[in-house]
Amino acid sequence: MEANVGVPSSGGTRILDGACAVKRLYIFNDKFGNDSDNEMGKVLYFHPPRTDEDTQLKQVGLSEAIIRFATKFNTKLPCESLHTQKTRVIFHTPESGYWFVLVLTIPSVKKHSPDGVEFVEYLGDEVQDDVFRAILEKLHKKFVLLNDTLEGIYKNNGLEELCLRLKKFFDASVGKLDASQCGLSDIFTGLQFFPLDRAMFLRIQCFINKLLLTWPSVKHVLLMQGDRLIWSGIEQSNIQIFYDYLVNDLLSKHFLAGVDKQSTFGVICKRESHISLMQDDHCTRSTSFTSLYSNHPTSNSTAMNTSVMSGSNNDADNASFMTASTNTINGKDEVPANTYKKFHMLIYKAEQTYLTLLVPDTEELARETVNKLEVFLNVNFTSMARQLAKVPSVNSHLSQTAMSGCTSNSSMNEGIPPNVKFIYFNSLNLAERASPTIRCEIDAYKLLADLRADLARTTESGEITIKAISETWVVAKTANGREFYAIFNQTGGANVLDIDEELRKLTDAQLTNIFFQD
Amino acid sequence: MDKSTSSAVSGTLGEGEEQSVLEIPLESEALAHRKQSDLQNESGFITDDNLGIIESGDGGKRESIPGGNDDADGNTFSSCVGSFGTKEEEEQQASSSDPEALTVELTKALDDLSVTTSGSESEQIQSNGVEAIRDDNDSDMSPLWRSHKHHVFILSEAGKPIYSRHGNEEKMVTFFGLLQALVSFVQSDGDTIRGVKVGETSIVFLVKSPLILVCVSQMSESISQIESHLTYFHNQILSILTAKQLQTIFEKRKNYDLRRLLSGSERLLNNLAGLIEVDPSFVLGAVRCLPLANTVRDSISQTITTVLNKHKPSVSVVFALLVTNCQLVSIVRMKKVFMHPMDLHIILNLIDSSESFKTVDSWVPICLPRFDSSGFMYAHVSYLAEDCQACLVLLTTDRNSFFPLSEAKQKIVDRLRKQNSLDAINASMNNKWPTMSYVNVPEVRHFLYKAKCRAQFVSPVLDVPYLDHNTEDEESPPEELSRDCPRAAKKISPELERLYSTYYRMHSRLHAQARPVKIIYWVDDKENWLGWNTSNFELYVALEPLIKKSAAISAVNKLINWVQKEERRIFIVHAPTF
Repeated sequence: MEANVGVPSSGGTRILDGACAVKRLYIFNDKFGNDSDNEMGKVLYFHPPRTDEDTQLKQVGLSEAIIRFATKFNTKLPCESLHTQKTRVIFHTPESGYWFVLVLTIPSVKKHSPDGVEFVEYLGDEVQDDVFRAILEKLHKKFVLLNDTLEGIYKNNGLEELCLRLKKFFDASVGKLDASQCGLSDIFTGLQFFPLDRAMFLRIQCFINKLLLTWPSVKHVLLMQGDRLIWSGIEQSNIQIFYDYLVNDLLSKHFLAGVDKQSTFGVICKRESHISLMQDDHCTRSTSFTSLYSNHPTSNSTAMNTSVMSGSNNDADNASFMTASTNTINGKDEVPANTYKKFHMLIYKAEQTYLTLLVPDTEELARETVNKLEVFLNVNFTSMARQLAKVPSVNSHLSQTAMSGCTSNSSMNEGIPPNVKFIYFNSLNLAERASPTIRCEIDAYKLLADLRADLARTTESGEITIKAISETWVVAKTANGREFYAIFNQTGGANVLDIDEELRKLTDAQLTNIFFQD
Repeated sequence: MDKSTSSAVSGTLGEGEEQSVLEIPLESEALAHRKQSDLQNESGFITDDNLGIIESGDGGKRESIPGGNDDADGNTFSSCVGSFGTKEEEEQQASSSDPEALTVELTKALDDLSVTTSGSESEQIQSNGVEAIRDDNDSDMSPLWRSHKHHVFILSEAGKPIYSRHGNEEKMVTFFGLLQALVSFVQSDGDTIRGVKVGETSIVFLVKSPLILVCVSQMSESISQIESHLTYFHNQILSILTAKQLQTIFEKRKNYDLRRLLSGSERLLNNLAGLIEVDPSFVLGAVRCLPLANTVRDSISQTITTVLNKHKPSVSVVFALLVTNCQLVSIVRMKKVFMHPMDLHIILNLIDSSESFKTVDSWVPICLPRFDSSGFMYAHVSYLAEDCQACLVLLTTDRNSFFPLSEAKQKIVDRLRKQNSLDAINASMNNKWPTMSYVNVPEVRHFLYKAKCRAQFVSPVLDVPYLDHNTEDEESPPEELSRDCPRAAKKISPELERLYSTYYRMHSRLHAQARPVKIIYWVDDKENWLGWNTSNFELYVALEPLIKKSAAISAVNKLINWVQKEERRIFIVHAPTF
């Protein structure tokens, strides 16, 4: 990942010679390692891993100096970013004293001056602070979800354990981060909802109420159809990161995408192996009990095929999922460690429906209890899942895999001309909808985050219409906590009014029930 | 006009077609440079001995520059020029009688710091940082100081304080050390520091060896906009010293205390900082022109041209500018040379910040960095008359032409008076024009229109809601406010700040390196905004809030028509040459 952008590999004007990439990611807290013989103590995590100590200390020292320096002029807010010609350094301090620092390389182009001298131009504004701050924030939240707060781990398990866990988590996460593709969606981390008619929704609500009443030890329930959310009993402050974890990390992409109908028969084993593989990869440590209940969809028989993984077999520590309790919804400041609760997580699957149960880890989760629960579910859950499967569903779409789906056209976008892309986010219910191919227009897509920053600066509601150099129009609109962004490609000689009209058509078709003030 | 010079010039460069004055894209620079070096050879003005002109000059009272209340003026130039040939003396002074032994020590320490690249450096930096932050007692960095919205710091690469906009730089030695340390630390990585963002505060560094310039702004400009502001400050310093002299000084002594050479010129930097805060012309890279009827302007330019051409003994004037209130009235230039708007802003700032020019004709050595950063030109600066506060600047490469130019100036004034041009200038200065009601596009509240090829822009007289009538009544005459003159409007109203910051925001979108944009139409709850970048012009418009887009577009078209119709009055469309 140590990209070398300073010396781009190949020439060619106006083509990015060095892309934006993660150069370093480190976490430090200067309350550790104060004694001179253990300076490295304050560095809790450093990527790339084979960096020599001198460089690590130098980098951390620079960050500390910048952070302190910044407080001179703004005592209220922590330092956000450091811009240099070749790199961008993003700072994030989610817990007091702990700093997450992400160093990105700035994309560059080779150019020739009029007299033929080659020089490298760095495109500083290609990298957007907001986006990467959101990513750091997300990484921290996810770490907390799977482990504990950093301070919590330090207090309970000691410094060494903290470093180990950070290493395990971040080594895996950094690899997955493609900095050149990050944009607006990373800020939103919204939820995809599965729309249902009233009767069906009522039925599901009944089921969930019944479940919660019968099994008082189950505290939270999450129901998903494929990768789309139907019901969430988790507080708003946690649902985004939890959903993101389920959809993007825990459950495999193509598992969620819904193995196509024909091949459903007889592939259960394969699917199970999918799950268990992931169990090995990710969840042995963090999930005490993950049960997979698969309903074999053979004709009438509901042959049950249960496999219970008990990931905690070799894990003395019963640590599971951390979620903040209801009254400590506080996204910005650090959440005191003691307000977090640990949970066991159980996931059951029938047809394309996933049921996730969270049980506080104070409850004894005996094999017997689980068996009884599974009997209950077998009666209630599977039949519901079968009904859900009949609901005419829009094709599942995964915005995260957009790159592979650049040419596909999901049925959700029926009626939208192929040159139009949009993304919608509602900050009240955290719903996000996006054209699956929105990231194909990478320049326009990145522009969206710029526009969001512009809109956020001034007022609660506003609209920006922009014409980019390449005949592409972009519209950003916010009102009532809702945000809507649209990209119009190859518009020919369109003007502001034409685009306004196009936008009206698009919102009429896509957001029928949503009121946007003009 | 000096025949030999002119023939040398035209011989070298050939006769070219006339181009409008300020058509100064970068390519003209090389040309200008070549040209200038020819001129230098011709006049030989860039030698050490004749740089002492002011001190040794036998020009008498008038030539020894200003007088009266602005003694500092004279000091600046005499000291900077005088010191050029006597560096050894300076060095002796510095080593023997320098009162700031402490400063030197610290700077040395920081030097060492920047040289080492071992792992322990980080701690040094860090401890240094800690020191600087904890060390608030001996520095000037009070909460009040912090609360200023716009700071500018200039220091040498060795960490020596040169200038601080607020507070006494001598009391911020540790802080300057910290700035230097941050810069050199990032440099040791083969990189260059650009800026730090903390909320709405941006701390921007511009490293222009041997100087480091730092700006702290809470006015939500983009980092590249602030960088360009710092470039103006850098140019301002070059205009006093020349790049060549600056290099030589620091090559000889890394620890040199540049304040000695700049003492008295803080007012230039202060004034520049004030202007940058309230005047969009710096972000646009353009200048305003005094609105004048085309015929009047032409006859003024014509008069200047004829007088200077016919004057005996002949003098070679490279540029002649007539300026009022930071607005350009007329510019005449030598063939094939152009003035960059950045250079023009240096001259405007010089005039704007020096009261003394009003009372006496002055002779000022000035370096125009974009024109030729290695040598001085000489500016004959004088106001036309008691009853006409327009300032005539005659720039020449000939150090001995003060008196001929003074005579020429008097002839110019006499002729202009005969033609009633002085009255025309006065009338335009006192007339608030163009007002939005004159422009007569009711949907438009305010706009900036930059004619790109001319590097000139126009904006209407400020009116409600952007003009705060309360402060206007108490503090200053309205017409000065309307021109964003900093002496009149040190504090701009929050509404005006909002107006400009939205303009700047749109500007940075239109000029983004990575994702530039052609048109931006922005609706918020107070205004509708339009930013438009075409090959000919840049336009920024604030429209009424509840307007429909269709109405907005026709309003903007009306506005553009208006500008085109009035073009010859608003802008200098024709720039004559000598």
